Amino acid sequence: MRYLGYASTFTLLTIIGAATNATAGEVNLYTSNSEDAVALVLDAVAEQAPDIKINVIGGGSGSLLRRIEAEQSAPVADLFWSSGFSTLAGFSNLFTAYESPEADSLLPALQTESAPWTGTNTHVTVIMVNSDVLDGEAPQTWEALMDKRWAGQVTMADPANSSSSYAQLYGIYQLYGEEGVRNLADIVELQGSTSGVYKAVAQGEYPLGMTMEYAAQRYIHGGQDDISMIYPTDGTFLSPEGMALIKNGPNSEEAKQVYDLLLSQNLQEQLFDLTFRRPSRADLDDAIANSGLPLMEDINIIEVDETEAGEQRDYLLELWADARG
Amino acid sequence: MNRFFPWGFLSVTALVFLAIFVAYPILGVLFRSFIGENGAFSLDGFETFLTRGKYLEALMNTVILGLIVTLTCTILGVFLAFVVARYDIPFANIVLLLPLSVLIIPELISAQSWVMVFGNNGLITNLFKALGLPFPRFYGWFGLIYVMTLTYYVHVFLAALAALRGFDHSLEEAGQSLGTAPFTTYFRVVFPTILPAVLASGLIVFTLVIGNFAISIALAQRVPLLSVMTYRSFISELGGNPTMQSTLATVSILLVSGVLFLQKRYLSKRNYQMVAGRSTPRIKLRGWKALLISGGAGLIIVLSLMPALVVLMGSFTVSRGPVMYWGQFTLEHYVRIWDFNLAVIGNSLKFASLATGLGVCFATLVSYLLVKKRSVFSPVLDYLLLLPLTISGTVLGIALAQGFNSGPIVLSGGLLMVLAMMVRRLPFGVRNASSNLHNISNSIEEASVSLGVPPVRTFFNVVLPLMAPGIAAAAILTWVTTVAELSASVVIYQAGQETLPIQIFRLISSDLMARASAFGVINMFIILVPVFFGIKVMKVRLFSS
Repeated sequence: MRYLGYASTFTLLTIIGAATNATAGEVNLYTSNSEDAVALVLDAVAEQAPDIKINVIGGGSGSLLRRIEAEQSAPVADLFWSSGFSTLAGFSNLFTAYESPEADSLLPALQTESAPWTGTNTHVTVIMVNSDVLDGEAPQTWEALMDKRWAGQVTMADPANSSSSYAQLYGIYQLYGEEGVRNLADIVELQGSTSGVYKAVAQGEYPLGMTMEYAAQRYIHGGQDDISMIYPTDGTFLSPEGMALIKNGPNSEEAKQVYDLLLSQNLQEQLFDLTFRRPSRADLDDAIANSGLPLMEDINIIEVDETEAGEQRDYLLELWADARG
Repeated sequence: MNRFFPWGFLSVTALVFLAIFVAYPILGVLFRSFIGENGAFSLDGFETFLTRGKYLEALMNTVILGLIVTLTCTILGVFLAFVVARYDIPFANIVLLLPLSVLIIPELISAQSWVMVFGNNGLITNLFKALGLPFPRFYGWFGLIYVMTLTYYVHVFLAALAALRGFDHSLEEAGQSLGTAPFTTYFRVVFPTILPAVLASGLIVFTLVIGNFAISIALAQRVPLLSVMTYRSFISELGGNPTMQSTLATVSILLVSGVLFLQKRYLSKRNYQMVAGRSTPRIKLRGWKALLISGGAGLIIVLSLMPALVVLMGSFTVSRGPVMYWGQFTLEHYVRIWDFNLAVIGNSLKFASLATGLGVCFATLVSYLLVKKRSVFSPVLDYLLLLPLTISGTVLGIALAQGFNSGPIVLSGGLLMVLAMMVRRLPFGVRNASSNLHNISNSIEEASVSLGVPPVRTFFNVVLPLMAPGIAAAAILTWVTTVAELSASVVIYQAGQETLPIQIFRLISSDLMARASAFGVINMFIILVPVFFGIKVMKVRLFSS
């Protein structure tokens, strides 16, 4: 009997302890970024805006955005940091635009004047290579990658499930048209999720994978010697990520200070050093060069029209499903 | 005294609870699988399932995997049970730890640790590479069968051991004295009598394998499986198709309930009663036979407990991003948890203690109502309690999320997490709680009532203390499973509600094994403390039934 009593007291206490509230001087930050990245932000805020206290709610970007949507009638979140532009576009009615004074220092592709978000960083699609299981010379272009000889040795995430993988598919379509899509469909094997790709390549399941620069760089920087990456010379694609102020958020003035801070040179440099996600600012070339990654101007980037990519989605996925058979 | 109050009223309350939180969401899933995109009745979902090759392939793979693992578990479990029951082996006491190993090592952690051992960058794999020997690819069939066998064989082992210990040795002697060779006697006398128990546990293994999520998602990269496909259909970041989610869930429900139906039919036909069992003397082995048999059994035991050790070691291993440096040690991962993730531990404790508290109260009440106060509602209650057995965690998560995120009843994410954890364990909780209820004589209770004590007070003062050992076992086992719960909660959880298994799952997804291991050690610790306390201090018998 006695332990039942203890259990119910404990239960009550945990219910009482569950409720929390934010007051003025605080910012409720909903973020999909890793804890160590968030810790950098907390440190920077403590130093440069000491009167602001940040409450962090972390999680996957999908689940965070759905939570913001559910809270729409009485918003709790002030700031969302960060997710891909195409994902944000699906939730654009949740956000309100803010013109940060820092925005002028950003790369033009990440300024997003027409949308209620601002670019914080951008992914670059690369071919991740595991030389341990690679037979022969690694392909230097998408065209070479789609050669029959690599059939079954290339992996990518399922474009129907992952927005960054859809961006890759759209990029191939833009470069090589329907035939390119068919050729790609013939040689790749699909992973269920984005992380499945870089894990599979790092573990030597596949010698080649279509993934994001930062993901491959984590292994290279971590010291796994057999991992390298290729920026295809026939042109590769960006998939930019952004943050946004929440419409009618309870502390939007304080949130704007954090917004500016997230775009500041110092914090962007620190975040880049930690996560290897290419910063949205145009003035961090030194940091990029130091990390061993190529400068943006040395990569052949294909411009992608995001609206066009969104409109073509159904058609392209149909074509893809058809080509996969 | 009103005849309806209190027990009839409580039966109805329990019934309503199960109807709303178990039957309604599950029926909702079945119902939605017949609703097309336009909202009208349609068989599109099933048509897609049957015509798109990938779905049928996943179904086939799931069934094949279930059959293979059931077979390997049966071989391993029966072998070990036989050795333990018949031979005097040196480490027989450690064998009794085995069922515990399954309890304290969550499936997710055993999958994770075996990847660290046998994955392409694993400890043993690298050793083989260094020696220039080829090593089979771990991701896919080999890994799935290997890890699932080592995770689930204990179910067969326990059932076979109980049956072998109950076996009347004089039957075997009778067979031999009639001139049958010892080996033939085993096959014609011993095996048929333990067969029902073994088959029943084998079917449990089969349902566990086809519903399995944690091991499948970690290892089935090249083998499409139904449970993983169901999960992905729901979690897709681009918004899934509700008809297809429900269709996949429905197929899984049909598969499991079909198996449970077969099991019931088979077992109702075969039932051996042992009369005055005289137990078999244990033989002391010598020479190469001793080495072979105790070596084989020892290997199984070591392999069963190894995941816990690997995870412990991994949690102290230096890592730079995803790359691990074995042999270099650090406390960094624990420091990070202390700095950043105490909330995750808090979430786990909060949800699991709520689910355990509510689940045990409910199980106690329902088992009392079902055993002692049978009424017209009891058969319905019996059937509703079977429902959670027919669905895998993933399907339960989808059912609850679809059922209560919109529609007539809307529940918050936290409440749904608690519900999911509680409902999954309910049938077992009721079985544990009622285990010694059958032995409590009705006359004790009647004596109390006839002396003027009201029925409810009689229940609390007389019956409940007698039920206590069963309730304690139910509480511990519920705690263990809720703290390790992943497959339902990972579908339901919202930002800020991550539990330890969810956090481990996310870290494994981004290939941060060392950090995941530190969380894994904490998870095992939280599971182990009440188990240890229960067994050592309160002398709870966890495996009596």
